[in-house]
Amino acid sequence: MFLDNKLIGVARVNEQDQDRGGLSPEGSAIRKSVKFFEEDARIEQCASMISGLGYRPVDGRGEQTEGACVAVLINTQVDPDLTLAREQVARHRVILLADETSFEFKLAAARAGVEAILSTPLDTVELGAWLDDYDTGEAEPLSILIVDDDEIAAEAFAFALEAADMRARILTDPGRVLEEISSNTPDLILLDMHMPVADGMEVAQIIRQSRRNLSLPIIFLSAEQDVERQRQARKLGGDDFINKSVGFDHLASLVRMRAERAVALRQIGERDSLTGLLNHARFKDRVAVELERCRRTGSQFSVCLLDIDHFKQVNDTKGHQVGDRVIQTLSHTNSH
Amino acid sequence: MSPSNVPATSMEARMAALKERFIEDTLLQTCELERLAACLAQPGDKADVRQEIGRIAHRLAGRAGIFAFSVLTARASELEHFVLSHRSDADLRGLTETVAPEIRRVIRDDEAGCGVVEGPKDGPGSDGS
Repeated sequence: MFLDNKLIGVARVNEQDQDRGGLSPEGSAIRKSVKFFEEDARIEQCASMISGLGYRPVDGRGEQTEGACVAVLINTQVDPDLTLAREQVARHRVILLADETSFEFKLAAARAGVEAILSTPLDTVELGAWLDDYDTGEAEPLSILIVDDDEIAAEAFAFALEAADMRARILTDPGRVLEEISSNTPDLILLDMHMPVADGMEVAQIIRQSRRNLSLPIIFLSAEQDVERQRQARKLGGDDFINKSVGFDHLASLVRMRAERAVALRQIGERDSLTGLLNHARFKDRVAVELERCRRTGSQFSVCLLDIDHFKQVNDTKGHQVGDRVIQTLSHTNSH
Repeated sequence: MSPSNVPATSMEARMAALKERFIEDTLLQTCELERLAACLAQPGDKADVRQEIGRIAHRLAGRAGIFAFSVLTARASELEHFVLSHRSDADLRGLTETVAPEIRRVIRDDEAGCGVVEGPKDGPGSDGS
């Protein structure tokens, strides 16, 4: 996060973080690439921006991509009829750079398989956010909390989720749900409707009593057919219902869709629009969570304060747009 | 744990072990249902007995679906419905005494033809429903 021109970051030291950049056996850095198709006059600027976001820029008209390509960026000035986009969609995720905003254009892009459209001038944070979304190779698996007093059922659901590359934790005592949310920050809760101590609706109410948990998706595990009870459960904080007899593949698919959507929305709401870093409130929450985790595990924890000296000179001599790009690039580079 | 780093046989073994636990526990709960059904024939307040039958039936309905025993889910749901709709003690006792041997038969049939254990899928269940 930024306070004035100070960049403040939180870091936990572990081996996985040290590997995040990706090193070859010889020790040279391997960066994932972003292929781009841009007008001649903008190639250098586009390559610089992609590089600033930590990816290797590859000019689509010349170079071959080596290794993983996170996305393909296409300016519609060089691909007005989206032919190139349609070709690239078969192998890559495609982001269009376009000034066109009409519904008809967006429909044509959607039909071509394009997932994102950015307007010009290209916003580094927005591009960075899309690339981060696509760069799932380094992402943490989705974390799902299963609250069900029936241990056998809960283990079966955990099995289904883990088989789909999600991380599942089981809680058979609903009385510990707040403690579990606080210490393990799940991306979604699967909550049994019928439990002896407190039923699912009551547990959902308790979870929603904290503003911090308002956006945490809750899916009820229930064979509840009563429409009025379903309505009441949604009113009290439930997002959806899944029948316990649902197929494992279907369960995992539903949970993944809900959780991924929630994670994406949470990132938008929690981040500063200029830098893409955590906003003030979320930063404080995150520090508290990390401190708690370090107390529990005995691991190390650091808070780093970066002050950009004489930044006013950048704004005064190069203009505020360039100043913003400096901040955006610095923050993005430091958060990877 | 994920398919990428865990052999398929380990995943199958884990699911098989889980199903084994389900079967063992279901057979125990079936004995309990029969004991509770006998209690319904005794004089006095049966509220606790009825509630316990409802709890066992509800849990069985949910679990059986997970392990693709759709006949068990249907019968257990019916039993739970009897409790929730305040059917008479005699009716509830009659249904409980009918359902209990059915549970054992379905499990026995499944064990006799037991193959690779998988999670529930759309379509016919383990019990041939």
